[in-house]
Amino acid sequence: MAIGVFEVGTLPKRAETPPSRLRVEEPTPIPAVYPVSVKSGDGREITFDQPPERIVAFDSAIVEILFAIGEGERIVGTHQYVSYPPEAADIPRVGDAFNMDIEATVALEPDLVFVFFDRFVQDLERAGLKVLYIPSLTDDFEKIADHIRTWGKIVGNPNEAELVARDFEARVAAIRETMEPIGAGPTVLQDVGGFWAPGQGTMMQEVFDLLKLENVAHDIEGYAQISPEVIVERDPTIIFTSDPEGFTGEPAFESVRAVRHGTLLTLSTDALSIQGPRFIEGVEEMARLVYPGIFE
Amino acid sequence: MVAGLAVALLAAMVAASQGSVYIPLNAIIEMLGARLPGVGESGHPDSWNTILWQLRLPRVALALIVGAGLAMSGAAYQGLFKNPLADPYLVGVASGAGLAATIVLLTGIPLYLAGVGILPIAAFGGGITSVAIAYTVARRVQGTPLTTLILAGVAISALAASVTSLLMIRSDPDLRPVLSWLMGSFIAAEWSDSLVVLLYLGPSVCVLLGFARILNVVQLSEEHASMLGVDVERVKIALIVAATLATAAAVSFSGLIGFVGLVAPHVVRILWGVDYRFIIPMSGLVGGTFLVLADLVARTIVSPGELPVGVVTAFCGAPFFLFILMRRRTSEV
Repeated sequence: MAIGVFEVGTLPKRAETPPSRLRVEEPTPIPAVYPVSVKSGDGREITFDQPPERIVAFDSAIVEILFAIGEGERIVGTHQYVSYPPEAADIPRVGDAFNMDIEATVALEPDLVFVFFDRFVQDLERAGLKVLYIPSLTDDFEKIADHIRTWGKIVGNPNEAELVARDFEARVAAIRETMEPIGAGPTVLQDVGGFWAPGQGTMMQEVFDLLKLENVAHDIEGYAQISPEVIVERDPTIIFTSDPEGFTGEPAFESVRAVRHGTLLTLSTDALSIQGPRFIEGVEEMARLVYPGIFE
Repeated sequence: MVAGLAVALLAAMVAASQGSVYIPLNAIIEMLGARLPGVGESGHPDSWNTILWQLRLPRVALALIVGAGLAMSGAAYQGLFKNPLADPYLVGVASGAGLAATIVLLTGIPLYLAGVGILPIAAFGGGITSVAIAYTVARRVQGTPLTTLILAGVAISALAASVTSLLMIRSDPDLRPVLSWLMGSFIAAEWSDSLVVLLYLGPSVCVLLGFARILNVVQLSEEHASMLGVDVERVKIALIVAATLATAAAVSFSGLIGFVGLVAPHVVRILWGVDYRFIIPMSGLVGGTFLVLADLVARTIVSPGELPVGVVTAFCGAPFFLFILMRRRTSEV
């Protein structure tokens, strides 16, 4: 256990060296091979004979992945809510949460449009564009590493993608190793606003499982509004919320352990809501907040 | 009326005894009894006491008050506007409150300031503002034509609703808190909420009840009422102000719960007749009872999760109302 703790403890601070690869061995250089075939969300095979040069990436996660593997300059368009990395701020926006401006997308002359929902696939294809549609992951966040590798193949930089993916996997493994000797952890609730909480079949539940946290909303399916009575009854030791006053100001929650102990925790970034390389940073932050003596 | 009161109290008792956390009925009775002077501690877990006194009873109380407020306002509006489609949201309270709540929830305005919840204040302000605009637009030198007021209210509602949609469509994809507010919920009810709503509702109800007899006269015609020496314009203003304040206070803590204010008065009218001195208080009892039961369903049917209570009022209330309409095969509404 001592070794595991030591390893995690010596991780570089995230802010200073964003894509850390310190503990990852350099793989044998992987050559780019074409054609690359990727399975789309609607079951079709999308084939690439050469790397796309002008990508409209309508998804925060893909933008983060492409920048992490050093291919961010291929992105010519994205949507309004992409906020990371800072370099992405200058990319033209072609839509918001629900709408995609097809005309503006066509005007960017992309050779690939990536979407994570299928609403505009037909329209885009009718406009003569090449579209890749892959739905967001609903569980198993470790598949993020595979997504990173897939994008490395698509844009012809499998080597860099392999490094980022291995870094991701190594950090998951490090957390798992550190957690190994630790018994059952505290009970938690994550309130994403208005008592909406993640339950079974969510990526958050997997993160809780990894950190051995017992989710008090374990019998909720997906995201749902949890009854405050259940919160009082199940008495979570830790509550993750961006709005602690919603609990401290309520007489009903005075007796809840998280309120009595002051363990209403707020995550500093949105990393855990984006299925990109930063996801693991969110997991690490959660680990540090929950086990301050073990993860530093 | 006495029977109605008894039914409302019974519904409240049932609602207090059921919830997503099971507490045996005898424990509930003992915990309630323990609050009486001269009776000692009930010896049940603290969490049960908290759930009963801080979560379940405040919800039952707020649902009862909000349901009564919405239904009585609806009854008064239907009488005043002589329109069976009138509901407490008729002149724009709901969409104004909804817009203000959406702004608070989506623009990163802190939800609490010095421990005071901002959301209810904003919703109340938004509701009052939109009615004030509608009224200002509709006002004429010699009075306020009610049709003009309705039209102004409809236009302002449409505008506020589209701004709400615009904010939602331009905002971060996670709209769940906004949507559940717009569909109504008592999930965050506290005792103090009921107290605040009562502060507005009390005077409003007195006004509504005080004008009930005049509403009976107005049903015949405004001219008839004027001939009897009634200052129709003053009555209008008093009723609109009272109903608006009651509704705005109700929705500010509960969100936009539909259906109760529209249908409860009709049920009363269909089942028990057309005297507003009876319709208004009875609508309050029916509306309150209905909303207490609807909230009971909302917080238990998908336990440990919850549904927005507005969904329940529509799903349970609409078939019931259609059934009553079918049974009554005469031409009047």
